[in-house]
Amino acid sequence: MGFSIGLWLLVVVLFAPPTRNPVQAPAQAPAPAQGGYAGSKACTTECHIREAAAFAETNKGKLFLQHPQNEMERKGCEGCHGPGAKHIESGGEDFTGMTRFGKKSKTPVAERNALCLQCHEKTARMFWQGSSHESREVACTDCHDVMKAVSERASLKRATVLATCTQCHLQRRSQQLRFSHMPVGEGRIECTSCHNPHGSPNEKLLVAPSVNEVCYSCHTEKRGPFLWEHPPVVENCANCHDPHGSNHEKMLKTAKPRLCQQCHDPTRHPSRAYAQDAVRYIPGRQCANCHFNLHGSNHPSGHVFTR
Amino acid sequence: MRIGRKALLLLALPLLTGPQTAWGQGGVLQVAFALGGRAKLDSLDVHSRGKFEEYREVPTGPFLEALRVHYAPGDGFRSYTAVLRELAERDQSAWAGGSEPGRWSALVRWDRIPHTYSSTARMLGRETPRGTFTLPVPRPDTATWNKAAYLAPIRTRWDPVRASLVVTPSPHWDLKAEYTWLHKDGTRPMGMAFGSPGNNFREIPEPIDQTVQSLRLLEGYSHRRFQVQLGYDFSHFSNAFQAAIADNPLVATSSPGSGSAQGRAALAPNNLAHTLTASGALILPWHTRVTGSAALSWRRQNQDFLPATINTAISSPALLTIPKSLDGRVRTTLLSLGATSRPSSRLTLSGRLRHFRLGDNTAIEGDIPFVLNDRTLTLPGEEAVRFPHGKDNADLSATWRFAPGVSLLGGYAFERWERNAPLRNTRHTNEHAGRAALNFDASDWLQLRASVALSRRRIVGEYLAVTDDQLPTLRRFDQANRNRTRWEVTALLSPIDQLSLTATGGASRAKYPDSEFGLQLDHSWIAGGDLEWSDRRVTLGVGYTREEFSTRQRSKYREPTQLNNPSYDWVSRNGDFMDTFDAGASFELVPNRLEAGGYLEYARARLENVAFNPITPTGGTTAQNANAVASNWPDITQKWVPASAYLQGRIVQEWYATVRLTSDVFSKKDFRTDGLKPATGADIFLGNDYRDYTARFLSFTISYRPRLLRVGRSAL
Repeated sequence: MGFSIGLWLLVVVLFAPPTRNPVQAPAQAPAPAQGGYAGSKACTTECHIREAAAFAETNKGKLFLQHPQNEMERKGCEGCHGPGAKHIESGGEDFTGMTRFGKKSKTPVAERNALCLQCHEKTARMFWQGSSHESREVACTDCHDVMKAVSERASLKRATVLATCTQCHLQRRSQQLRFSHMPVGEGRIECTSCHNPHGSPNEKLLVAPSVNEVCYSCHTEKRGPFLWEHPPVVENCANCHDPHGSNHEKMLKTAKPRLCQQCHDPTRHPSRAYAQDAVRYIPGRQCANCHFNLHGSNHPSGHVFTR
Repeated sequence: MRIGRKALLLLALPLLTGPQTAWGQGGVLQVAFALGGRAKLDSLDVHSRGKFEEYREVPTGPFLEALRVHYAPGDGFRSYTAVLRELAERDQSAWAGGSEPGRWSALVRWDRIPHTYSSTARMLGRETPRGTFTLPVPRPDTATWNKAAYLAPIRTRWDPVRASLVVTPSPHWDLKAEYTWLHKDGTRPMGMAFGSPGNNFREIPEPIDQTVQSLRLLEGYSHRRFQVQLGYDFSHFSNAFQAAIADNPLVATSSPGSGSAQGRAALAPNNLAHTLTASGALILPWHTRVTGSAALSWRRQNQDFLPATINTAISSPALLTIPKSLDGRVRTTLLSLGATSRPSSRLTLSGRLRHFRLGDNTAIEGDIPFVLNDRTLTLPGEEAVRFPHGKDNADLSATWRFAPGVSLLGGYAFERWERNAPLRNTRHTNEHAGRAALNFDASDWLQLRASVALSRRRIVGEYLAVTDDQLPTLRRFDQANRNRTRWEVTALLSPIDQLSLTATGGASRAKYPDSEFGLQLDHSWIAGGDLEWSDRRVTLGVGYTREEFSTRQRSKYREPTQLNNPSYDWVSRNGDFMDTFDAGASFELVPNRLEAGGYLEYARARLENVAFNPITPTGGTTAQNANAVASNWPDITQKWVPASAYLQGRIVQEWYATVRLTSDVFSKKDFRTDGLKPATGADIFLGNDYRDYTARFLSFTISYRPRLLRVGRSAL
């Protein structure tokens, strides 16, 4: 019974009349070739010569202007911007039926994005819709510039991923100047090493199902499982670390031993409010001077992470 | 290293002789490069270079900053590129790749990432073989330790090599294969506790020789109504060192009760993981898109255990009952289902369900007898508790567009943690959150995004004090009741095309209302802005952010005879106060001929710890009362000011000459590490620390940069 209902639903879904991309407005459908299209030559040789020259050097430019693979790409500039005949006839004044992507665009963000998603709504962009960036009306062109080669890859609007993301996430840029930070500012890893800005089924747009699994991709030695485990470590590295950078060693959220004392209060040394001159517990790496294996120990005598 | 770099520079020279040539049938080969020399203006000895070269190498003498070779065959469509940066330096990187847009792309990339922990570590004794640290008998005294010779910098180097191939055989199919080999080599500080005499410990440089191999396969199919993606990930970690062994600096002869002459600690065990993922999206009628994802992962770790102790004076039949290895097996499961619908052009509805579980099927039972710090035999031992847990999330939101470019989002989210482990304090916590967000993009010159979120987390059932010596009213912050408020605003103003101003502000305040002890308050705020001007000849940028983080926690000093003395309570307020300023500019002084520019960054941080007893400690012995007294720490301060200025001229055609003055100043005051000597009390440190530095360098670079290759973050 359940199977037959499921099969019926599948048939209905697969054979229902197709709808466009859910956020694509009807007005953005490309008109027939004869319906107002002027061809890219008119754009690239008359008014937008500089832009066209820069575009031609990009991967997308090569695809659209020299080696189109499908009907949309064969339209060249008008594949994304829409039919431009009226625009040309009006001397560049009339934008009716066209889409602009810059600051002065009157086209809603969702409709602009829908044009990009016609081709790019797969692989890394599969979860774009409903993602935090999509719901905050972030436009593809806020981060990408396909009209000129600004970045080494991914057609970014700025030279690097970090520079692109920190257009809005200013704090992340300042965190790169913290005493303890990952080498993002140095260009050795990128925001996209951990996050997929196009959406993901995971919290914080992470590229893996949990914070820890993201961290394990490089810090694989912490993965275990260990004989003796430290539960807040097993659950979430971000319980103790701020991966974007911090003033405390190892990107800790606050200074040891205070960080450890937020949870540990057994008798004697864990519960003491150490003064600055407390030997062993304050100099060097504080609690980790002895409990160095606090991410987990595989030693039979490592239950307090000193072995 | 220096000879090697010069040799490689010589090898690279023939490439530079013909920067741009026609090659093959109409193909174009282009070469761009930047090479030069660097001279230091300040003497920066090796012990001051720790922080300066934390993630890089800045040598004096000749350098090849970058070399880029690009080949495009006659069709002008495919392209092949190879890039080398910082050739033969510790932080060099290289990649080579090719692509045919829309059909395939391939990339091989090799990076070197150094991480220098310090260049001031000192140690006595020998390391033979690697990972075994021996000391002479009799053991050295304090004065001898403090005269110990400096070690080589404590540093690890990561060498990740990544090869990937993406093939799009048809517009519907995407295939991706990626293999990563990551080797880590070097040292890192680690501690070795001995427990005697006086609970002493010793710091040693942990030997690092680890390799991570991972393989990722991804296959995607897209149809006008649906998309499917399947993936498989394999990851394997291997460690060449399973143990580190160090002589006890205070004990030369092992004995059953008073200590061990050696300590042996376990290092990270080999492990592996397999992960299968499946994702899909379905376009339904009524402008609805449904997405789903499933990920199953299996982790395994079965490295043989080390013996329970290296102390030959301790033996017990119970120690022979310890299993040979863990046979650790963990499985994680993620299921997620989401839907977004736009029933009208004004309304978007979105919902998501997420289910994550970590199950630990490790079959280790009973108590494990152990020898604490190779000194104290403890029977029957302790149970190696496993920590399975799970998290379920639900999220609903609606976005209403009042007018073109103006929308308001309202949402509700729910999060439930499940912790099914005997040593966790709660079984379930539920968190309910509401949020609202305003997006304004209706003006040519203003874009505004604002959001506010309120959440409440509550324990379901009891909060259990799981050990006898835990304060029953302590609440651990990850499981405690919590009320949290967060808001943020970002405004982007661009009154004219050349000018943009970004202003941002935000705050987060988390209160833990039922935490009599533990973290009680976690508060932070940030305010900042960015101003940018860009026209054909001038680019200017200035930014500033102020951040403050503060936490308040309460604890109680506890002695076996003073477990609940109310005057032994103490409170700690920890504050981080940070200012970050940056400015950058470039000027085209003579069009297409002469350019000047530079940047300055200034980061200053102050860490404050205020600690006090609400009631003056009394009631115990004099020593106990003294130990219960809380006092403020001196402020810890850090300052980092990197800056650079350059003058660049076009000599002829695409040839450029650049003179650059780089300055980098770092200073800190930290009572925990400043002037740390190897022998401190009964303990032996490496005595390592980052030293303050002032580094200024003058560099001269010649570069050839064809226009087509003038992209990316480097001078190229």
